[in-house]
Amino acid sequence: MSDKPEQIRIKPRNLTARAAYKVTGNPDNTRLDGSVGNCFPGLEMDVRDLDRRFFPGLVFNAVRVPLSPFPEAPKNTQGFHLVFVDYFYDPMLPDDSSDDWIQTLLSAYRGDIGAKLSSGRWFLAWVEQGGRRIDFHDDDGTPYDGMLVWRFIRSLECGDDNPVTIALERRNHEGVVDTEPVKLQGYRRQYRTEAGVFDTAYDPGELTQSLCNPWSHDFRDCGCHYWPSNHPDVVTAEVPHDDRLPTGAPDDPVVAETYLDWLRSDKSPSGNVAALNTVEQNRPFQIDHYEVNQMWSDLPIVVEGRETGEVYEADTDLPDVEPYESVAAMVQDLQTRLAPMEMTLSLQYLYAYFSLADPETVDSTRWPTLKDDLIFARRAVLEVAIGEMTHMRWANQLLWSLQGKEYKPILKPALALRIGAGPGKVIPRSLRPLTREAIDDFIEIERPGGFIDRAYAQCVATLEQKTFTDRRLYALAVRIDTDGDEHYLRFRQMKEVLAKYETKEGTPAYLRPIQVGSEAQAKDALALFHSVTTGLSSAYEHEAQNHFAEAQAFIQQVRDTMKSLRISGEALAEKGIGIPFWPEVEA
Amino acid sequence: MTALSAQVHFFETAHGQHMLAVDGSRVFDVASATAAEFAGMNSDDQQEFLARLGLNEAPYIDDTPPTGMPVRSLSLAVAQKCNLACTYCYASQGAFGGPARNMEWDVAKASVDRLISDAEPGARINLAFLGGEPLINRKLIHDTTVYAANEAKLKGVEVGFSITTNGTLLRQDDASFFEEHSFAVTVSLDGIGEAHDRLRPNRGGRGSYDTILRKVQPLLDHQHRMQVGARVTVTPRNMDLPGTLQHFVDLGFHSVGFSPMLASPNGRDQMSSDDMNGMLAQMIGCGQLFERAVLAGRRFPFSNMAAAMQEIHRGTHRPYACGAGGGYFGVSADGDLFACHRFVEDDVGAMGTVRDGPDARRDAWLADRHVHKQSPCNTCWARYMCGGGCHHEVIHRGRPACDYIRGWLEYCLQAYVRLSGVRPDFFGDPAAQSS
Repeated sequence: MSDKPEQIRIKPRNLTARAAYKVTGNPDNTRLDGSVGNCFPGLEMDVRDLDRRFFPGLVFNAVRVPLSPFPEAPKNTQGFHLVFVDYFYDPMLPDDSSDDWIQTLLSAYRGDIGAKLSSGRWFLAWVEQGGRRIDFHDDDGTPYDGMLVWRFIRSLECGDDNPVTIALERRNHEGVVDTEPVKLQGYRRQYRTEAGVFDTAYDPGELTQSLCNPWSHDFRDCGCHYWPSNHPDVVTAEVPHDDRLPTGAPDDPVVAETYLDWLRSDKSPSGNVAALNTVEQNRPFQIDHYEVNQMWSDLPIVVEGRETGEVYEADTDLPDVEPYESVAAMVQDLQTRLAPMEMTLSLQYLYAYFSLADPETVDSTRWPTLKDDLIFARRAVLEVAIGEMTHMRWANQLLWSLQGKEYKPILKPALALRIGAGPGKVIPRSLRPLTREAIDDFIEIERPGGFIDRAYAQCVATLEQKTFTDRRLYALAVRIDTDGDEHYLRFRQMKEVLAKYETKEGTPAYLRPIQVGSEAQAKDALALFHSVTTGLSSAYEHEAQNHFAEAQAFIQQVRDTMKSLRISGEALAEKGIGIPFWPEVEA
Repeated sequence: MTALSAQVHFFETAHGQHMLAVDGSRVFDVASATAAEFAGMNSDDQQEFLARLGLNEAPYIDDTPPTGMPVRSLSLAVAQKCNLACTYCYASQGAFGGPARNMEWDVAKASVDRLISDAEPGARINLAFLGGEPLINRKLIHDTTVYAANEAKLKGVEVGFSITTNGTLLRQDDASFFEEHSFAVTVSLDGIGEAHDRLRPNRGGRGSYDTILRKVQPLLDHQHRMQVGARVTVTPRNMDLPGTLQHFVDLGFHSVGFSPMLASPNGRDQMSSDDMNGMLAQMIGCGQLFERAVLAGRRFPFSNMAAAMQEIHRGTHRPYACGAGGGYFGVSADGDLFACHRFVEDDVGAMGTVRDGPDARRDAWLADRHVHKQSPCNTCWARYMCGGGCHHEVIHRGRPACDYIRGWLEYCLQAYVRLSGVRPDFFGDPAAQSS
């Protein structure tokens, strides 16, 4: 046996040789085609395993605090536990290197330090980089849990200009440090080469060793959330083509709000009943373990929270939407029409919000469901109002991004609104309670494909042109553009929910009979509102000049004022007074 | 248990030492002293050496012969007669030692039906027309081809046609018919001019070369879907292979292949072992022409070499030399099935009728002809590349050509290493790098 070659160097050349060639030491599941990575890109390894070799020559394990420790077991075993010193083949530590720090580390490992580390249980005590030290102990001296230490290790930087100092401490059976710590200087390992290949310090299988294999058959209940992270719990049902809004969402608000259990076993239309609140409650109606193995490929693809059929249709562009002729034309439209319209809508909706009765004081004997419905409607209309406020802010943001120094905040409400498709029709702005007619108008205003929707589609079409390199502006326009469907569905839900309180006699039970008050009646509220608009104006001007801290101070002031305005508005509404956000005369 | 020394074969090139793992025909580059080290080991160490290379797993080829194989290819002896009188003919001037006769339509039709009925949709079947000289029975070839093409279309089966002819009876209109049905046409040509005429005279003793070239020309001109190849039977009297190869390539043949005359019915023009040594040198000369062309990025249709390169690249490993008696059979004019076209009317290779399909003799044949059952094949490193040699030649003459085959394969392995390093694209392998 003496003349046996120590290492057989061999290179497979033809196809059968290449197919059968196995790298010594690698188990079969390290081949890409057999690994989890084939099905779950990103889950082919456990990233935590990279950090176990963060410091050259040392291998750690992150140890958790034991859940049910044995009384006789060693104490304080949690933390970054040194498993062994492994410097022979560490690519960071070539023994012929001329770098001082490498030679220093190598002689430490070869000499007294190595000998010292080989006896007893050693843990990472602290790390230091860039003049900052992170100590891995609580105030009372209890060592951190290994996962917590790991998170700090992840924050270390690699690179020649980022040296790292570490200290290792030895803990005795009682978990008490019983000798001088060992300090070492080096650099954090760069886990991947420039080419994207993992550092060769890692042994075959090392990066996958802590993964379990839940997808083999019981992934449905995988406790590590690998499988759950890749599947939705609840979804909305697939929508037939003719029943869709342009974004693909159902146009029926009930369907849009009915969340189904994705794992439900009854996939027929009759099985499309709302999922219950907890996993346990849904359990009996789900496909079972063995069925997952048989039916996993029947589980529908889910896009945007909706089950999709054979073909996913992306949000279709509105027909005939052309970009603006110029940036100047878009700026002008944003200034004169869109931003003012958003302001008008916010205020109309806010006014309507105050017209809704107080859920706590309604006649629950006569209307047992009214309280719940009011809670819903008040929240929904406030959400939409806030949505419009957000749009107003985004419209302003588009303006300051496009105009630069020329920018002036636009916070003045428009006099009129345009609704319907094409040129549509112009209706005067009006402050009115949330009557059925008002809801109908709001639905028309927010209807997908209507004027507002098209106006922002035009912004999107302009900003997606290649001449605009700033993709943030495009993303911003897309956000405003796609938000409208939600408003439309909300008002349709409100209409459905509130319809039953229409008695055709007097004010419906869900409304309080408010009328637009005079400036004198609403003096305090108007002062608050004025403070809101001036505060926003200052905030936007600062933000336009990248003075974010100053802008934030104004925003905070506006938020506080809005809370007061809400209280003030509620108090006025109790007295039948609506806030006159604008003079009523022009209507 | 096969001797360990027969499980690997070391060879050298200018690139260093290489190893063929016989099982799976796997080719590896190894360190330069590996062969000597292996030879110096005792069998336990050799065993461990192979295990460390991962070569101790379940073998690619075991002792079990295949069973129930569908019939995929048939060659029809459409005319058991010939207008030539080649000196060495395995069919004894076309009649296979029996009375001269033509195949009848019902036998040809039954042959097509046999192929079609064994084929599932999407499968590929092959129908070959041989003789004797098949073109003596041209009408049957036409009828059978058209019938097979229609039946194949109905069943969704792909059908390939081929014909092997002496070329003397070719007509102008054959070109368009063969082209229409994408025939692979093989013309037997044993050399240039006189060299050919000496071996392939007509029955009156006159040479046939000029006639054949004149008649083949329209086919060469028309080949598009049709492919026209030249096949050279090598005897001691036509040994200028590189010259012959280059000449036929220049004439425009789609492929040119050589095979030695190892067993003729009367022993005439058979190759002796000295002759085989000479042929090996000639074949290597042809191979060098091929290597030069491939390095220059040119197609060079030397079929023996082209096939060997692709088979080595794929690691082709076979327990039989060919499909004879497996998926391929020869059909005699009377409709009897034989192991291949050479065994027609030969009881050794008889295995049923085309109407009833192959009988139990076929299973016995496959069990008997398995290369593991052949001696000395079971100790030869080339056994899975060669498959044990042509059954017809082995049964009737033995194995006089083993040294030639090993020599040729050794050269091909070396050429593969040379070419695969420099021209991975030739092997459809752009990612491969030279070592």
